Amino acid sequence: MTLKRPTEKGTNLNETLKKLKQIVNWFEENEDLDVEKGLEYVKEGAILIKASKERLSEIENEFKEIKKEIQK
Amino acid sequence: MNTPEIFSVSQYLDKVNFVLKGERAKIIGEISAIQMYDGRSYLYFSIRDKKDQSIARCFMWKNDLKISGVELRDGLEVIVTAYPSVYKPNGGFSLQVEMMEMVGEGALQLAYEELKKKLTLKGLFDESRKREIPKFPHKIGLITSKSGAVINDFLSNIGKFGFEISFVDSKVEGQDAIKDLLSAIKTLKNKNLDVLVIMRGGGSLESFLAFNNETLVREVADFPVPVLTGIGHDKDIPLISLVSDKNVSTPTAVSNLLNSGWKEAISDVSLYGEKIFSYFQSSIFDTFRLAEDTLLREVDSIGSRIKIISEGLSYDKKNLIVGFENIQNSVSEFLRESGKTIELSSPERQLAHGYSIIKNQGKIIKSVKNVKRGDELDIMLSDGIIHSKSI
Repeated sequence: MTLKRPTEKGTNLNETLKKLKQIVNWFEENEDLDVEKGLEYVKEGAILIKASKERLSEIENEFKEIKKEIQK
Repeated sequence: MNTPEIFSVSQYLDKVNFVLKGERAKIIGEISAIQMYDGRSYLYFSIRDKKDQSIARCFMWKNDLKISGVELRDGLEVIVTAYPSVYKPNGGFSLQVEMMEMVGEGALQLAYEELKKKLTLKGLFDESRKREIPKFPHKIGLITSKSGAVINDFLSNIGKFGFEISFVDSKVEGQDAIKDLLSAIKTLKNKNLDVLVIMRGGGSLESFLAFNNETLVREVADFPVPVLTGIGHDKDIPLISLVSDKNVSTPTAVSNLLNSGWKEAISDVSLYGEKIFSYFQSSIFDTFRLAEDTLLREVDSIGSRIKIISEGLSYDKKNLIVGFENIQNSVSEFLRESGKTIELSSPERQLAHGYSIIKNQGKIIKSVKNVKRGDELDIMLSDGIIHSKSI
């Protein structure tokens, strides 16, 4: 499993959640934990969670009315 | 006194037509004298008054007829939306028909059933055609009426997830809504959207005319991104709701559906966070606990092993000392015995008993064969050497 850090531009939430789920699965599947690797994934998870929470925090909606194009 | 203005025929007809255009009206009558003119973009027909047989000639663009979704036939009762005009080349009076709709619940029901059957056979309502509404929609195209409760319900329930809503106001009532809705769809078709939302409140089959229109249904089916409809209905589900990728019945339900992925993500992120840290924490603690147990066990085991080794060492030391002493004794004994033997077998000791040793040029003579005449011989006795010569 390889994980990429979210880009600065923004986070693809779908992708991020998928990665977080992968990390959770890794912990669930590895009973004899490789602590070094586990620590690496915890760090990765923390970054992803932070990015996700930022994206999921309250952001005002943008509402714009568009005039109809004239029917030809 | 001003002289009345004098018009040319053409100028006057233009003036009349301008005024007549403002006389747009809905007129009810029965269809007759249809002239389709194959290959041309327009057609003519007449509408006749059922009571007194009054008649009016009608002109209509074939595209408008298609949009109206009415199967034209003699005797069909319709309502046309039209304005009057005078055709300048021949002075003929006609109604310029913009839209046409069928009359009566029975006719509408029949048309609805027929179109539903036709589009079902064409596979437009198949589940396999349905596209998934994105889990995290961001750019939303919205078509509904600006006035009324629908848009307010939608906006007051949509979550603050940074949605970009591109709204196009449209009529949603009756046959007049068809062109408006088509225009709104066309406007949003080329916009970068994640999902298109079309909403209206509930109503009778007649008020849903536009939403059962074939052209509109096909436009929705061909829309480049998934379409979500929120159209209330009583008995007959509007065909636009059947063709859309997902249909819910109220604007609040539309908002909830658009919010759902985001809300789910909030709880998922918290859950994943908790899981990762608790797994890691418990794993680390488990590892440390295991390491501690192992270490303690090992310390005990090392202690006892050191004891065994140390005991072994002192035992070995004792054995070594004893062994060494034994060897030393054996060696001493051996040396003593050897000395005795050597002493007993010493040639010098034999000389004392009267034996002698004869040497010829330093070599001991063991046989007469080793002596020649004239050899000088040394005869060793216990107390001296006799120098002699062989004769």
